[in-house]
Amino acid sequence: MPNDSVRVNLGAGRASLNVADRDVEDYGTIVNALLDGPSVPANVSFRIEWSGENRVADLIDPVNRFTGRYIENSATIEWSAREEGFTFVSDPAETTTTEFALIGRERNGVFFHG
Amino acid sequence: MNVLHRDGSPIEQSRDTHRYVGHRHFWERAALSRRQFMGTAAGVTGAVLTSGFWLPALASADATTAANPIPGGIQPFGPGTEVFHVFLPGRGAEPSTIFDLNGFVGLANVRGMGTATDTRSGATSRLIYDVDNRFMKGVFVGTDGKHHNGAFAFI
Repeated sequence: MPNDSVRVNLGAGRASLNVADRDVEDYGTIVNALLDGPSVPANVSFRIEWSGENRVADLIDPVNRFTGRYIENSATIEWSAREEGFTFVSDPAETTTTEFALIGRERNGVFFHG
Repeated sequence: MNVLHRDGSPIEQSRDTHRYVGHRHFWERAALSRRQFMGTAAGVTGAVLTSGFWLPALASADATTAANPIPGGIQPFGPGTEVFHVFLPGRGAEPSTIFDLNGFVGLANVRGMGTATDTRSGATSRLIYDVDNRFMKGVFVGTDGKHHNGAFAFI
């Protein structure tokens, strides 16, 4: 997807991800997806917005070789999907419940200097 | 194995080096069939449109360059089985699914409801969803060993 589909403003604690008409595979269940089992073609569009600041954490993980500064916050999503015989439209973004969300600045792998 | 704050204080410990703390219901849902998942709002429901679940969608100017996956991840089928290069959402867990990245990451594990329509009959139903979507954006070293600039989504 276009690079500008992702917008980040860490200073303001905000970010967004926009995906439009993305072809995906619907595996039906998580287990079937993990097994790369049968699937049907589907198409999804969504917009996710991150905002707020519940907690800021600086992390360093030398075993998995990543480090970063992360803002735990909230996110909302509006999305839709379609495939043959089925469509789905989510409720408005403001009805989203956040289980866990964060945005951050990270370096991992060759960019990790632990 | 500890994940540390920069001051050296542990953020949390995982008893199993291959698993980070995640949402318990992820594993419970994995055992349900799609038929069990979908139903009325009065019961336990869920709309699961699982995509190429473990494959970051490549974006941006370097549309032909693949990224390296993170080396770690989860083994949902148990020790000694295939590693899926993603960690469950949670404090202290690696949010990126690509490696050799210097950039921004975002993770949204959210849930809500929506309306499903059987386009053949016109029948509608109310369903719940629970999704984990992420982005990774910045400079990365691709599988070609070269530096690139791009954006990825985990959907």
